[in-house]
Amino acid sequence: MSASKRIVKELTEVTSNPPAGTKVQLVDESDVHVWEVLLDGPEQSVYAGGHFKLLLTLPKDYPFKPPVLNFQTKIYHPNVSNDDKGSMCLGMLRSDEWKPPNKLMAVINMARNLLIEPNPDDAVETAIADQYKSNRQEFEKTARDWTKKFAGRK
Amino acid sequence: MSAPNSPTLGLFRSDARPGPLTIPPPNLEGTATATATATAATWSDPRQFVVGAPPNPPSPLALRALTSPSNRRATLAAPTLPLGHADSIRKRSSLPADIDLSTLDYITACDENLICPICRCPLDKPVRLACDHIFCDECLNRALEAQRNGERNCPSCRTRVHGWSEDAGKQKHKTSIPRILTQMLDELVVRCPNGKAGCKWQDKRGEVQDHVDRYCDYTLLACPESECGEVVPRKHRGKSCLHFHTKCEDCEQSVLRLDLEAHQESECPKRAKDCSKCGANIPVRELISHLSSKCPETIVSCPGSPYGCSFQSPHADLKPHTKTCPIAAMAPFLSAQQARQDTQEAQQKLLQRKVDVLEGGFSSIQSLLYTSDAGTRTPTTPLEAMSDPMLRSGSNNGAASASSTAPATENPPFDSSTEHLLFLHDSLRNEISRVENALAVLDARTTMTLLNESLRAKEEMAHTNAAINGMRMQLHWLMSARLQAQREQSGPRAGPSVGGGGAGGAAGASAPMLRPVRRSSEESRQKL
Ligand SMILES: [Zn+2]
Ligand SMILES: [Zn+2]
Ligand SMILES: [Zn+2]
Ligand SMILES: [Zn+2]
Ligand SMILES: [Zn+2]
Ligand SMILES: [Zn+2]
Ligand SMILES: [Zn+2]
Repeated sequence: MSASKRIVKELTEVTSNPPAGTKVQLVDESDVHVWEVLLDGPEQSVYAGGHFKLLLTLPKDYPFKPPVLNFQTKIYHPNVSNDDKGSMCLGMLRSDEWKPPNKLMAVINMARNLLIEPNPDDAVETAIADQYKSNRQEFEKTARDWTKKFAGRK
Repeated sequence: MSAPNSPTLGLFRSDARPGPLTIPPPNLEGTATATATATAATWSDPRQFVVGAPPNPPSPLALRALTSPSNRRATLAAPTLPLGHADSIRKRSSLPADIDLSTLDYITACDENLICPICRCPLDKPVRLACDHIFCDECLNRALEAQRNGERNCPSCRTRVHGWSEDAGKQKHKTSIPRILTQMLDELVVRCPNGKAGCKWQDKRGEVQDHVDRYCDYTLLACPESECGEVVPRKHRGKSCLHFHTKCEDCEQSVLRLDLEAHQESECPKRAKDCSKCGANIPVRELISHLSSKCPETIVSCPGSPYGCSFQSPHADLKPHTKTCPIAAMAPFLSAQQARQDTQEAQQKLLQRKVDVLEGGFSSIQSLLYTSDAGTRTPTTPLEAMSDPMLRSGSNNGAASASSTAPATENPPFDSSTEHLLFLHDSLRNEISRVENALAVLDARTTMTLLNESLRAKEEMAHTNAAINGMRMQLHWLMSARLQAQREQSGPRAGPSVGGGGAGGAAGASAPMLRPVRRSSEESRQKL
């Protein structure tokens, strides 16, 4: 009961004062546990110009368990799994690092910051992470290509 | 719940804050006007019921009061029930459960410090950990239960929590809560949780449980007929059961007796009432909307009232006025304008904030620059630094037209904040190139000094080397002299014992040959 009240509070907080370049809405008005986050690729990153759709799913026992973040738009990024799930799971999103006082605003900001600066030392896609570390130019090129191809404006 | 015994009850008693018992206990017979004196006579000293070993098991109510969060409630509600009667009483009156304070509607804005970081509601039964983080009791318990591997860490800072147990009775992790905190929490103003049912009550949060338990007209209580099992709002709880269907005299619909008045007041399609203002006979279902908008006698104000028209008239006379009133004609335009202005103001605030942040960063960078290179630069620099940074960069950069026209004002009248920012950016760039130059100079200087230093060091090293060499030579001399002396001593001793005169002569011959060597070494020692 109070958990959903907290979620509604966080939702109004995020929708009334969204982090730069993001937009948050519910996928289904009747379910506050599934949020859709529209994230514009940050200007200073290789994802600039892209529009990414993310799904933020809150578990039943939120805030005691961490939310789950999935990229629905394909993205070339060391910290996002390159499959149909597109899951991003690092830092505070790990269940052993999650703290109940964390805010979803911070989760969204973290996702945005990871687009600006990927974290290759905590990668799901190790091949991309290696490329990021050893051949930055090639990485940036592919990331830009993917952004144009999958995350361009529709 | 454990078996009843006096220790538990003693504990309960000591927990109870002795508050003044001015409030009558819930009136169990349904006569809402029972007086306090009657109460006092019936329940002379409520605590006596509790302290002695009870003949019967304690009532569920009393037990619930034991676990109740509100100590105050425990004093007020529980001891007033004689244990023997409790069961039969409970059947007839069902008090509502503890109110979940997080579901309440808070009217006063709550300070951020009173908000539980887990449920983001004003704290409910706050618990303070050794690390000084505070949570609702329930939130903390749930957070700790959810932790894996048997770890029990503070949800905020992960400091280990000692003494926590799933059994509330064994928990030892709580430290005392500042009284001011509980007072502030108790003083938050909330609406009655029965607000949706129609209760208008609003008051301090500390009072809400009492209000719901004792006074709220809309609290659902058990039907006075014990076999019925239904509930009824306190205000309708009479002597008899109202849970039977009856027919509305007007519309012939079958309605619960309990709901009959409400039906006839506002729902019955066949029933009509005269409007209290215009006198027209209006169906009760439409009466509310009639009064608020349609009734020709309702006083309404001109649509231009927010913008200055003070005209008010009954609904019927408004139309002619709106046709002539210039403000009413302008009203849609004005409201659109107002909305636009609001959004622009909000945007401006945002931009202002951004500018402030950038300016702060800029000036901090500048101060950093001037403190770091003040020593290496000409003495004019500190003076320059003291003057307004905007002013100086304005004189450096004549291209920015706006600032050069009025460089004396504190805030040059830039056309837009973007221009302002660009301007700041430009001067920042100048600063950076200046720092670059300074760094290059510094670099050259350090290289030179380093070179000089190392040269000198090299020279010194050569000197030392030479000195060491000399000493080595001397040591060599000394050593060989000593060796010779030893041989000399051992020579004469060995000669006589062996008995060979020739051998003695040979040794005697070798000794004089070594003499000068020794002497020369002595001479060199004296020289030194
Ligand atoms: Zn809480
Ligand atoms: Zn802590
Ligand atoms: Zn009420
Ligand atoms: Zn009944
Ligand atoms: Zn009727
Ligand atoms: Zn009327
Ligand atoms: Zn008017």
